[in-house]
Amino acid sequence: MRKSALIVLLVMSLPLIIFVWLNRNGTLASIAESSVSQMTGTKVNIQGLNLDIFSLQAELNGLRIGDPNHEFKNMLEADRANMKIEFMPLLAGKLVIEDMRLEKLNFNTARQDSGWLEKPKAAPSTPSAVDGSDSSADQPPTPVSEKTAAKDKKAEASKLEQLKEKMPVIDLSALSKDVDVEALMKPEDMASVKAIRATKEDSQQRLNDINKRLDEQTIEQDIDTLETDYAAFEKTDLKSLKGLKEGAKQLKSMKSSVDSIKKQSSAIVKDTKADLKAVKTSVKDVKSLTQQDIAEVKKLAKLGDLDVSDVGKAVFGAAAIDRFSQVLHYLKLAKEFVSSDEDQFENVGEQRRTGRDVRFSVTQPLPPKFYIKTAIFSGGDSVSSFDGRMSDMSSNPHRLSQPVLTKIKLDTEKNNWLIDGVFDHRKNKDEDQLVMSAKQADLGKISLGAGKDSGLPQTIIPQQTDLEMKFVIQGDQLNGQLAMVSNKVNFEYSPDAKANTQTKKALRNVFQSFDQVTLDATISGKLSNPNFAVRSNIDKKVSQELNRLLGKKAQAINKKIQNRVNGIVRGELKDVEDGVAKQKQNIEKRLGKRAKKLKVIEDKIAAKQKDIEALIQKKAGKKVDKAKDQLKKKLKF
Amino acid sequence: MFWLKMLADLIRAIQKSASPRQLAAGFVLGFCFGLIPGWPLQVIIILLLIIFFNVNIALAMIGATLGPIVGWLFDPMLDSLGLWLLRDIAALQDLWIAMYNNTAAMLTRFNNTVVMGSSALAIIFSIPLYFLLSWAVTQYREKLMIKIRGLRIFRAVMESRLFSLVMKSED
Repeated sequence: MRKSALIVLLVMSLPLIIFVWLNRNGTLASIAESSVSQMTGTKVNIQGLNLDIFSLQAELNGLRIGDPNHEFKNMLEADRANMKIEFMPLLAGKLVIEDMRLEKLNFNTARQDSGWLEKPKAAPSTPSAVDGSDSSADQPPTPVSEKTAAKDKKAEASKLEQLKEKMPVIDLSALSKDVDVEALMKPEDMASVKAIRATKEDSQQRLNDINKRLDEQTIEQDIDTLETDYAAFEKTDLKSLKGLKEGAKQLKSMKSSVDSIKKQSSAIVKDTKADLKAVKTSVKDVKSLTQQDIAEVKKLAKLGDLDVSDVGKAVFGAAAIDRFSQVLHYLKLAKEFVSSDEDQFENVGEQRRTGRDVRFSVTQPLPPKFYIKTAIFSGGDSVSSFDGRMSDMSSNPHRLSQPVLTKIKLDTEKNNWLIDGVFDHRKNKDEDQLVMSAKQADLGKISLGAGKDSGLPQTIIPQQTDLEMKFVIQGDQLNGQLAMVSNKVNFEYSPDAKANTQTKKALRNVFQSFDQVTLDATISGKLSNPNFAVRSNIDKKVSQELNRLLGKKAQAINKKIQNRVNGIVRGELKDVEDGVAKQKQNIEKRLGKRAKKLKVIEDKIAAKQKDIEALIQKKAGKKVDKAKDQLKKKLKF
Repeated sequence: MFWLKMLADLIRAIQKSASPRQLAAGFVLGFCFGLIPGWPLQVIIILLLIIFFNVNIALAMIGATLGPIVGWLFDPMLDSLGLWLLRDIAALQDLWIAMYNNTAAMLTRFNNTVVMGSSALAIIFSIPLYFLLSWAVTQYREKLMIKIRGLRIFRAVMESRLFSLVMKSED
């Protein structure tokens, strides 16, 4: 029985073993395709795979990885790849490649079929539609793993683009002609005017409320009633001691009514003072908005502050941000290869018998589902070639003790670039770093993005340049640095930009005088709200020259704008202050009249109380004397 | 034909040819094999035990057929049991962490709730089930076998031509 069972089992297994043997290449290719596809969120194609089962060496032909941003482009294409696979992890369905060599590697190549796993769902509005960038560009595909950052990439890039819009503008054409301040400003759009009008409404409301409270109160009627009562009291004949005592009681009651009215009046005076103080504070706040309005109009007038720091930003800002955007793009591209399959680790078993995987803390490195220990690659085209190595690339960095390291050497006809990347996704906060550096490089023409009429150069041609660009992203925090030292530099103007004014000619001379340029640009803070600063050796000189040529004119225009804005604000403020003062006067008049009337009656009551008390004492004294006399007489008898 | 042959084997084994322990062990191992989903390491070990030890294959196959049915019916409970063992028992956490960080232990897929739940159920019930089945087979042979042999339906099956052919081919 045992023997026959074993034979049956062997006979049954034999076709399976043969099938697996014959399909080993296809099986391994599909494991590799699905693993890499899971990491990138795009299609991965492997044309041919040949596995030597004894040495576990695999040769792979025609590797193509789809681009998450362009449907019909490959992010990466390699002619041939050799790899050594580890046996034990294969038993657990994991692909661990000890050593991988990719040859004839190419990037951004065209592909016939779609490189996306599935078509993206139509979004109601995309950030590109809002920021006005190219909305016809391919949308990234919805990846299998939700972790891909492809969707956010455009948004992040547009954050840097927004920085470009905030660059200071130095428009010499604006400075050289008279600025029509009136045409630039609309009082109804000014923040200070809006605030003043709001204050006006608020103060009116407060004063109306005070008046309403005064109307609703019965203080005036109470005072009148008190006067009538007192007049009636005065007419009564107070002769007997009992009558006098009754009168004193009535006066005491009137006095407490006076106190009550005084209390009510003082409460309303207190509230009025608080309301008027609030109105004054609002007016004070408005004054700070005036400075904001002045800055806004100056911006519309295209007046640079001719400040040292502004010059650096105005000249190199846009170009530096372009470079930062480019490095950020490379960084994001590399990050896509370091994404984690951790989120699918604890899947929810929707079907029976699938269960859920529970995660525990990782105390020692274990191979994840897909892991390349070392990848050595090379490629290039007729003008450039590159070679590099990448280590510890995996589908789940949490399971590894090393960050992913990349080192690439890129040689073009004129330059040698070194690219170093460190991608550490082992902790909760990812930390990615990319450094690109070149020595004595010829960087060609770099567009500076200055306007035609700015008087600033449109392009810079730096030669013999040492350049280092470093970008570090930790969670949402970023820190980018660009350091450039160019020993030979030329500035170029577009043929349309003519040096038709004295100022433009002078400025051109200043730029032509620079042989060497040192530039330091930094970008820091949160990715959603980055801070940007530029420092260069030309800042001071250009700023001085601009101030010499245009300082007085700029100051005059500034003053004109300031005066006009202050004039509008002052006019509006006067209106509010006059209105408040008038209302305040009315309220004070009403309150004063009441107080005067109340004082009169209070004095009368006090005097009468004094009189009555004296009479009571007198009457009571006589009565006591009479009683004493009677008692004495009785005792004598 | 295969199933008919299996039935013949089963009847023969229960009647006399196999010991009660062989029968019980075959059923228990087959049941455990079917109860635990997928192909984790423990399932492969159970399969090897079935092949290399002298247990009854026919009963192992019956067990392997019943196991998944029981597993499917009690899936929510097995899932909860597994989750409770993996998450809520503090004393076991160190063991799970050590296993989680060991490649060989990960081959058991112990961190899957249903695999853990069904493995635990298999461990808890396999020994009592083994003894219960051994006792049941003994009791059957001593008290019920003669009565059942006397049943018309049993005789009808045993004397049928097809069954005789199968039995002959076995011999």
